[in-house]
Amino acid sequence: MSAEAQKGDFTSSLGRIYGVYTGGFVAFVVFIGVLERAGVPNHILGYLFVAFTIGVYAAIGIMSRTMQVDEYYVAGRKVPSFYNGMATAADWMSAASFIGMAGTLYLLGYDGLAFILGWTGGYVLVATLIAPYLRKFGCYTVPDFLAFRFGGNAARIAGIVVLMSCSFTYVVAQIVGTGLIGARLLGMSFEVAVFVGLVGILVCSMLGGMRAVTWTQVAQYIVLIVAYLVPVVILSTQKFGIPIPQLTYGSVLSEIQTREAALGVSAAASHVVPFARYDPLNFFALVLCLMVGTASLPHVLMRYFTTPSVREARSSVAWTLLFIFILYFTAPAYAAFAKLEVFENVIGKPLAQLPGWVYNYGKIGLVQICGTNAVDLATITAACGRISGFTGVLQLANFGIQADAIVIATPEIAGLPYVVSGLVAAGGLAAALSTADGLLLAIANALSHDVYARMINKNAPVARKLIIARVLLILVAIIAAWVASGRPADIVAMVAWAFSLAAAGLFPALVMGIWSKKTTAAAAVAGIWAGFLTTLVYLVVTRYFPGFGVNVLGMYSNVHPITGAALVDIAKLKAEQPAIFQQGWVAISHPLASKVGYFNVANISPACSACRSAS
Amino acid sequence: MPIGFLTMYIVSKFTTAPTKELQSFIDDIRRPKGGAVMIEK
Repeated sequence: MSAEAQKGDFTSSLGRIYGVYTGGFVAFVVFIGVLERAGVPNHILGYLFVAFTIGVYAAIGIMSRTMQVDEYYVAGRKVPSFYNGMATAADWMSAASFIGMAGTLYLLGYDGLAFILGWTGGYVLVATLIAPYLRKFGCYTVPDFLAFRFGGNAARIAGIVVLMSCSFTYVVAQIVGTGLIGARLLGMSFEVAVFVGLVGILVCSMLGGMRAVTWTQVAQYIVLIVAYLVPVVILSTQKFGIPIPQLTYGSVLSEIQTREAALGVSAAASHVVPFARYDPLNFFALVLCLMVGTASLPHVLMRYFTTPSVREARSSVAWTLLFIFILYFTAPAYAAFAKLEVFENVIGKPLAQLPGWVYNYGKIGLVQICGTNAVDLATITAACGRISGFTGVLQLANFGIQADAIVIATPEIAGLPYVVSGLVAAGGLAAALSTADGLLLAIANALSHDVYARMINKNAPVARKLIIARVLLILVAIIAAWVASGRPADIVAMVAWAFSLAAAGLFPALVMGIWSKKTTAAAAVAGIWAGFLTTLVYLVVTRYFPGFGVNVLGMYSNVHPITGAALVDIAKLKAEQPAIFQQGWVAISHPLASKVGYFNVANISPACSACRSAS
Repeated sequence: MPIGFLTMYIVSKFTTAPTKELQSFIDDIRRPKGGAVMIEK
């Protein structure tokens, strides 16, 4: 049978192949459940989950190996829209989506919906303004499009700089996420989990490039969506007898509102009051930034180069939107069910009656009571005893939970067996690995195709191009893993910056390049650099050099979203602590960090210190 | 982002427009039908 005929057989059999895969995965989960009943220790079950799933991804990666350029860079442009939608959804939904989204909604309440609106709304922009036209163009990378549309390498280089800025911090954060999942859920050391993640990423992508990454991402999507839905569906069924949490959590919100009133929760800390944490300007600016940033991220856009036609590129975006919607529409339910659990069974309870999950997650630093990690009853009793006026009953102000705990703790909150916790770990790992693969490929392809093949050695043979692409992939992955092993908290926060940088640096050039035929090359290059550098300076100064921002750039305090009062009294601080304004690089706990700027446009990050407050 | 759009708009007014051929090519990209316009080797 010819190679073309074999390819046709493969794509026409995708339904059967992934049907068998899904059935096999479900059977494996049931098997793990049987082992748990038989008394196999939980840590063994956790390792089996990781080994099985990474083993399957590796097998797909090896079976998808190729030495053809178009297969390596764009999967031969033979990925049907349905499966490309699934792969793109996995490529997009990282550990931040899987584990962090529900937690962000738990902490921010209504205002957290800005992230959902932005991250899903971006795909509407992708479908209407960008993806089908890039596909019609027929390029391999986003900088490639910029170079051809705007002539020469100036636009290409600008595109590469923006791509690297957005993608490198993003991929480091995914590898950090892999490490945290392994450490928190499976009992591995952080460094070992990072190494396991690195191996998992490379076996999926190195031999087959985009072809291997595509089919692996489809498999990873199936794992992550099953893992995300199962716990909250069971929770909804337990509470309401209806296995559709997206419909039942409205009742939960009503109960939360009642409990908040009884506990005396202020509007500023309410789960259901709109604009309690972000004023309308920052809320809608955040939505816009995330929408436009999503529509500009290179690792997302390059997924649409793999479809067979322009029509399928457009329908692929619709499928992506559906597959992303399934998870994002469920995240508010996760947050609501977790918050109600805290209000019903934790707050207002004597310390001796707190549920066991509080201590299980306190031991790994995700739950704090009276200012200390809730490792056991004796520890929290001692800590609470030092608080004057403590009555023995846990108050809202004395309870703290980190955002990451919401999804991770839900299986235990619902009283489910460990196999479900292991399933959640496998889902989180799938989300982190799939996004890391897409990002690494975007970076390595930019370096190998745009820098080497298009600028350094235009006549390089195909084999050399592919070898260089693979070597760069390994090199970038190792560098990213090395940076990640140092647990760089600020780099995780910088993931949020990727959206602003992509929005400012790439979106105008992509849109004007497609929709304004008279936009010149000089204009595009000037626009990319102007947008990118302005945004970078604003982000860096407001976060790390706020004193410089106030003294030299004339920045002023942002205001409270409800009271309108300045967050920082600049005049008072200058009088009482002038040294604050003379400092260079500052930590996130600095009184001015991320609180100054222009026109109340805030430097918002999901990892900001304000977001780690008590519930 | 507004700075990027504004910069591109203003600079385009003061620089030479793309050739008619390229402008026609860009128009062609926006037509949904037809194959890819650039074939990688």
